[in-house]
Amino acid sequence: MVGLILISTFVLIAVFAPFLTKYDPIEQDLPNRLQSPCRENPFGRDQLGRDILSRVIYGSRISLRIGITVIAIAATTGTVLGVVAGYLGGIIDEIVMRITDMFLAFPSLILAMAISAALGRSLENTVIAIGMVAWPTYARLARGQTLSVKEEQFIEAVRSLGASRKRIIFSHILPQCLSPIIIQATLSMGGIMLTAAGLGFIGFGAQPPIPEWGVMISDGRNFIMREWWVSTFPGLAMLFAVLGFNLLGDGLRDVLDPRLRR
Amino acid sequence: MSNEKPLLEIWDLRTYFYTYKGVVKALEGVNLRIGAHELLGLVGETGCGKTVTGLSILRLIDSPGKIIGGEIVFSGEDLLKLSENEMSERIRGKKISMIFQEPRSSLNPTYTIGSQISEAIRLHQRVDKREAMRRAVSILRQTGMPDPERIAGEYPHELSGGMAQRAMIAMALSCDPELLIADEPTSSLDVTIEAQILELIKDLISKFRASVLLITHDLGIVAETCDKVAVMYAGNVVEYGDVRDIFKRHKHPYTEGLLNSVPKLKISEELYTIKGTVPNLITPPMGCRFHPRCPEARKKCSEFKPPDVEVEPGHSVSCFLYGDS
Repeated sequence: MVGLILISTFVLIAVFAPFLTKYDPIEQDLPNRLQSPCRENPFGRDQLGRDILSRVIYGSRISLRIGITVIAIAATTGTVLGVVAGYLGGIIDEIVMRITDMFLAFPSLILAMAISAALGRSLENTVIAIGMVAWPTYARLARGQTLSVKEEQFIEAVRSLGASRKRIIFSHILPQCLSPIIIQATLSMGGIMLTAAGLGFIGFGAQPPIPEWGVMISDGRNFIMREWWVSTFPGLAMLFAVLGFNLLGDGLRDVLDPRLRR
Repeated sequence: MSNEKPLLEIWDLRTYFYTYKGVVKALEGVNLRIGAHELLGLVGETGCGKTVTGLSILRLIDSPGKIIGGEIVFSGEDLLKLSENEMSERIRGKKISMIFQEPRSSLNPTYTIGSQISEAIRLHQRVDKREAMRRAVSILRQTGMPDPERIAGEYPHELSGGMAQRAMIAMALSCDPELLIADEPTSSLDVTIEAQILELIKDLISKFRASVLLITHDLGIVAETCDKVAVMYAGNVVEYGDVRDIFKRHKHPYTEGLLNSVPKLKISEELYTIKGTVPNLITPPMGCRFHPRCPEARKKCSEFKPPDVEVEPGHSVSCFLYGDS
């Protein structure tokens, strides 16, 4: 419930960003640089005099966009590969699962760093890099689910009615795998946003002046002792967004899959 | 009748399962014939290969199982030579369909009855969704469902076992198949429903002019419903014939034992049992697979596999007690 509130606030902020602040997130105002929080700039200004509140607000759009596109790519690829591998079995299963094992063997942040370094630093490449790191989890999950669903009697029954493999996979097995996938997607949203911010922080992700939270935290780290507001507010925004998605994921799991409730 | 070309002929069908413990020789040379508009009962103990025979006909044997030899000739065409695509496009659901033991787990819990039946219709017939749904409702009505429009909108868990089996039958018959394989369609239902379902199958089959392979372990059902009977033992059909022949003039010692072990009302003597247990099919007995339990076993029985001998027209037995040799 708390998760739902946090996430709806987060989404609303992202959607209505232009109406919530009068400052442009990348407009510089050098005379007022490092302005401490005041009535005019509740979160203060950064080293180039940009309003931090509006940067945090616009940053929510970036994080949300990264999160959603990554999930869309990773969950679709992973689920389709997992279901197909699980249903067909044999050599195809073996190949797909060994590739997922390879991807899972690397720490995800390091792998994402390597991929985004190889592709070049930009927001799009960050998305691709994280997507490539995130799909194996879905493949595993979908395969496991498929293996149990495919033994069900009704799968044999639709086969006996002459349904093709494609039809069985996509209209009978896939829908049965969806609820754990949705839960996993929500739960991993937070992690993905963290990875994206991490990449931004070390300079492999979004590039300045994009108001991306990781980049902002990184910008403020030189001033953290005296001008604490530069890093703290994007950091707090990050904290609430990730917390929100984790709580929402837990909540969804309780609703969609009551067996897992403790 | 016997001069007519049979709808389905199975010759020397062998299906093996490659398990870690060894190769399970589930079917070892099954021969079977089903004529047009005929109701054939396939009886035998649990694990003798009845279901495997049914699944083999539709080629639904999955790894680790494999059909390794034989012929399944359906309307003059060997099903084992067709590709997987041809099987699902032309045979499964269209010419041959199957109903299973557990009707409720044979229906996908996430779709309504109506949409599942119309899916089956749309797999083989070019009709739009609305027309398919209309046909689904009409076929549900033919299975004697009260209020078929409402049932079509319900999910499998909302139906009783008997209703779900009617829905399965509707689905199986939706494309007007020539052969229906019914794998113990009534074992999970209670006795009153059982009678209704069997009656329904009989009715619909004569209406749809289809044949049925009724797989069961219940000799009572066979006596009441079937025209022909095939008795299976450990992966072989040991006796095949007309219902009356099998019940009155059975030849094979196993059939004899099976019929004697049916409880009778009047006689209060101890129930007859066939000695011993079903053989392990990884290392089945040499020769006739029944010989270790057979009261009439001879030396020859443990050395050679007995051939099918036609003792009377349309009545064949696989036993050395009969035949010329």
